[in-house]
Order: sequence, then C-alpha cells, then structure tokens
Amino acid sequence: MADFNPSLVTLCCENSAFLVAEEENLPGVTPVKIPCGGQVEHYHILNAFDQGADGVMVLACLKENCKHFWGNDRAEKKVNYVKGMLENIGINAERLAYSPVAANNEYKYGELVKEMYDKLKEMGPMEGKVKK
Amino acid sequence: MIIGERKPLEEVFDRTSSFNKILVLGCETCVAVCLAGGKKEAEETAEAISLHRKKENQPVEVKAESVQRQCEFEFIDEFKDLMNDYDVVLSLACGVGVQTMVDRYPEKIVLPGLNTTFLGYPLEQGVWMENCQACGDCVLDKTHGICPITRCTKSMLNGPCGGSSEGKCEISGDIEIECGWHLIHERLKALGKLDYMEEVEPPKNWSTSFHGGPRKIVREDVKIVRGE
Amino acid sequence: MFAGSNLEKVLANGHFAITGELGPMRGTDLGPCLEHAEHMRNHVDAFNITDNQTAVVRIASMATAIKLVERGMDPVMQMTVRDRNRICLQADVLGGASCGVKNFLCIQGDHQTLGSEPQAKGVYDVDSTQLMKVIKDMRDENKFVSGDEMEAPLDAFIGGVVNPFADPFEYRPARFAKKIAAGVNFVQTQCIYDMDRLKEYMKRVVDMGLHEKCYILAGITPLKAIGAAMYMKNNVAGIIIPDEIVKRLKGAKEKPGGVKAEGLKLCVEQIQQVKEIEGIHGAHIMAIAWEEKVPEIVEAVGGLMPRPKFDD
Ligand code: SF4
Ligand code: SF4
Repeated sequence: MADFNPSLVTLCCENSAFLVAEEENLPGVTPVKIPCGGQVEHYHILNAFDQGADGVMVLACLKENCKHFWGNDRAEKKVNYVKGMLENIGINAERLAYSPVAANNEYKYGELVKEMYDKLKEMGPMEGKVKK
Repeated sequence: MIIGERKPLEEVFDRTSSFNKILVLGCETCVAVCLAGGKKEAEETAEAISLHRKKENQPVEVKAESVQRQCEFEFIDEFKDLMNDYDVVLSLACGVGVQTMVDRYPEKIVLPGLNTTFLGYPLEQGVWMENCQACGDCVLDKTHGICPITRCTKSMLNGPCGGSSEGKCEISGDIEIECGWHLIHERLKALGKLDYMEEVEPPKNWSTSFHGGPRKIVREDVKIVRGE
Repeated sequence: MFAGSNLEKVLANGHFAITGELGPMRGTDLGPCLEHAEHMRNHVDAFNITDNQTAVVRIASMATAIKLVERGMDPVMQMTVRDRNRICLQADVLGGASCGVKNFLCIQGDHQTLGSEPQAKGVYDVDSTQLMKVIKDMRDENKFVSGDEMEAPLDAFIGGVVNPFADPFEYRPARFAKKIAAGVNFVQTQCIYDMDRLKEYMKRVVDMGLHEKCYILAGITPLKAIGAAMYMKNNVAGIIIPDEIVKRLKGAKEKPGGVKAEGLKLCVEQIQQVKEIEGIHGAHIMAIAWEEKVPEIVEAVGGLMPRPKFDD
C-alpha cells in the first residue's frame, strides 16, 4: 500500500487540540474545529467517513481539564459507541480514535496524528471504497 | 413517556436493503427525550445507512428529517411533498408514530426503525425504567404510587411472592431488578399504611387493559361534527 | 371436613402428617414418577405433584394426580397461576375434582424467564392468594369468579405455600394471615435449613394464632451434594442455607457414607426438630431426584410409622 495516501479527519476541540492542529498543517490531515469534545455527535463522526475520510480522530482536552467539565469524557464515550456502529456497518473500528491533547503540546499532536496516519496507510482505503 | 431503542443496525440495513431513496424520519417528542429517535438519531441512522450502502457498493439516497410529533396527523401533514421524493420511510418514532404515518400515507411503505419498549421515565441520564402498563384501571392509590402491575414481575396484587430476597426480585441476574412489592411494603410502612398489606385484593378486571381488545375512547362532548 | 382427603383426615385427627413431593417427567412416560409413588406409598399420607416446577415443561400435574387417584393414593395437585388464566384454573379444579382429586395447592410459580421456555408469555391473571379465594368461593359459595353458579358442588382441601425465608421477613406472618383470610386450609413452607429463622417465624405465627386456623407442614429437602447446597444457597431466591450446614456436609466427605449419608442424617434431624416446634403439624419432604430415600428418612425419624389409616 505504499502508493496509498489516506485522508484523516481530526475533530479538534477549540480549547486545546485545534490550537496546535492549526499550526501543524500536516498533509492528508484535515483538522475540523469543534467547540468542545462534548459537542461531537455520533453523526458528525459518521459523516466524516461518509464524506470520504479513511480515518477519524476526536481530540479533546486532557482529563479533568475540560472547560465544560465533562465534555472530553463524553466525547470518549461517544467515540466508543460509534466504534460499535462502525463494526455493525462493517468498517474496522480502528479507523476511529480518541485522544486527549494539551493546548501547548504540539509534539504530542504531531505524534498521535502520525501514528494514526501510518496505521491507516497500513490498513489501506476504507472498506468498500473504490480505488481511483 | 414512551421509551424506545433503535433497532440493531444490522436489522435496519437488512430491512432497507431493497430501497434506493430512504427518508429517515425521527420524532421530537418522547423518543427524542430518551435519545432513541429524535433528529440526532435520525441523522446518525441515515449516515450509517449511507456508509453501509457505500461499503456494499450500492449507494443510496438517504435523508434525515424529524417531526415535532409523529403520532398526530396535523404534524405529519407537512411532509406531504417530501414524501413524494422517497420510496420508503424509516420511522424512528414509536409504534404509534409508524402507524399514524401509514394511516396518513397509505400508498407509502413505512418501516419501524425503533423497538418501542415501554412506558416509563428516565431514572438518571442514560437509565430508563418501565413503570406503567396502561392497565386501564389504575390502582396507584392503593399502593401509594408504586405500580404492582408493572413493578412486580408477576403483576401480583397480593405480593410479595416467596422469591423476594433482600429487596430484589427473583429474576434478578446481571441486571438487578427491585422487588416491586418490597418497594410497596417500604412505602406503606413509611406512610403508616401497612394495613393495606393485610387486605385480600380480589382478582383484577383485565378487560379494561389490552386483554379486552384494542382500546378506543370515544368522547361525544369533544367530537367535532361538521356543519355544527 | 372440607374434602375428606386422606391428608385432611390425618391432620384433622391430630397426627403429624407426612407428604412427599413428586415431579412428573419431561416426556410421555409417567412410569418413573408412579414408581416413586408406589415406593413411598406406605410412608406418606399424600403425594404432592409439582406443576411445571421451576417453569420447566413437564407432564401436567392434573394428569399425574388423576393417575394416583386411580391407584388409591391421595394427590395434592399443585396449580401455579403463571401458565393459566382464571378460565383454565377453574376448569382444572373442576377437572381434577371430577376425577377424585381433593387437595389443590395454589402457588405463584417461578417466573417463566427462569425456566425451560424463557420466551413464554406469562399469564398472572390471578395471583396465588386470589386463587385460594377463587377455589374457596367455588367450594363454599358454589360460585365461579364471575358470580355464575356451578352446576354441581366442589369439595376441596385448599393448600398454599409460605416462605419464612423470603423478605421482608417482618411481613411474612401477616402475609400468611392474608392467605388464611383468602381461604387456605394447609400450607407447606419453603425448604428449611435455617432453623433459627423458622423458629422466629413460627413464634410470630403462633402469637397471631395462625396455627389454629391452618395446618402447617414444614418443607424439608435432603441435601445430596455440596454442589447442590451451594447452588441453592447462591442462586435460588428465597432459600437460606446457613454456613454451618455447608461446613457439616464438607466435613463428612471423608466419613463412611460421605456427604450423602450426612445429608440424610441432617434431613432426619430437621424433621425431628420441626416436630417439636409449636404450630407445625407435619412435614413435606421434597427429595428432589432422591425420591427413593423417602421411606428410609421417614423410618429414621422415629415414631412416624405406621402411617394412620382411615376407612372411607
Ligand atoms: S395500575 Fe395500571 S394504570 Fe396505574 S400505573 Fe399500573 S399499569 Fe399504569
Ligand atoms: S420477587 Fe417481588 S417483584 Fe419479583 S415476582 Fe416476586 S413479588 Fe414480584
């Protein structure tokens, strides 16, 4: 799969991950600003896949660091729920991930995204996606 | 309110597999409050169908919509035009909503996307509990607000049975079920009304419940007669 | 006399009654069950036939009861309210009675989800207390639940169960009183292992004078194995097995006869003990899958043989 360049969408909380994501500008990665991890809905994640993403990451604030108290915890639970939906649909749940990232930790953001990107590269394109 | 749960996605995919234009229609009343069939759930279900069909290489046109109350004609009338564009409606309303749609749009296929589970209330965020079976002859006055028909697994009127142990019903397994009659006993004790526990409650008239057939209420005083 | 069954005569004449439980088979051959009955014929006063016990499908209790009547034995026909509505329950009382069954025991029954057909629809039209009243009204008022008159009278000795080991404990004697008000003539208790709790319960029952209005049979089940005891202790709601009993069984592993002999010994002692408790009029032996031991147990208690005989 050397010639496969995945497309990865990162749903980033504007209070943390998005601040770094903006700076990073990695190829193949599309950061989307969200007001809080807790605001992510199941359909947002599914929609990203539906629009062609090979992988989706939800990146919110560190534990106990959420501006809205439990937004990050809720985001994590929702991600787990959607992983179940993906399995029902027939999509490898590994294509979806949740991670907490601090606003000042560019290194961690880059690291997490790269790790996911490489994983997707290995997994190949989305199940059922017609290779152009 | 009416509590429901979305049908397993596999079932949803299977039932809708022969259609190419699907309208997923939520309802913003009970089933939205119990996070099973409102706008958000309609959207996620539509996305799931779309993704699944893409994966199967059978793309589909699917739209998510939602109506304030799917169990009343005046609310669903507004979908008349939209209905023409789709060959099936996957309703995320309760069974009442599904049937109201069928009644209004008899030429359309309307499928249930939800399992209507019970009448109950949210105990806490994410936990719902059944507490009424609409028996048609409420006895909550006698038991002071705890329904023996619903909260007792065997719908006893002279409980608790011999399986009640430490406040739990004999059927308790992985999920713990409180013994309804234990609760009634505790409540009556607190109110100083334990006398009721000594009365032999006669057999109940079940004909007011579903056992008398599908129920219908007709009230002449509020019916509108055209030309009046 | 309500029905003049052998069991009623034994109790009415002040004898300590002994009944044995029989579980019908899960196929069409009633043979083993009838064999067990024959085997304990001279040792028990009546045979208690379970009704789809533990919600597992079996030969109907009425069919089995009628077979025993044909052999000159006195059956106690159990009736759970789980599987039949008032139409069928009343019909089965008439059916049993018309074929010579005189004792009817009303029970709620284990919930269907715990049995062999967990997807079944439960009936629960009337509850066990109401069924006692239904049979009483048939017998004493000659009336069905609806108020319609019966065409011929019913004789029935009405039975029920009480569980001193279920909760809330404080309510249990009052619940017994309620069943008496509903018409129960005799009750058998849930399996007894916790003697202290039974004694406490019986003290309250005697204080309320309930033992003078209803015959009470102590439920006794011999423990065959440690595993069975542990299963009942941990999984059967409404049965209490004290740790000492488990300890005693475990301690018997090395003794001659092993756990089984100890289980039988324990059972005999339990009957001897309940005989001394005020208000207890007999013992109901539920030797589940161990029916052949009933004669041995009854003989070992002492003073129980021969069983009283009455001329019809
Ligand atoms: S008694 Fe009947 S109406 Fe009242 S809460 Fe129970 S089921 Fe509902
Ligand atoms: S344990 Fe309680 S809730 Fe369960 S069937 Fe018995 S009385 Fe009803």
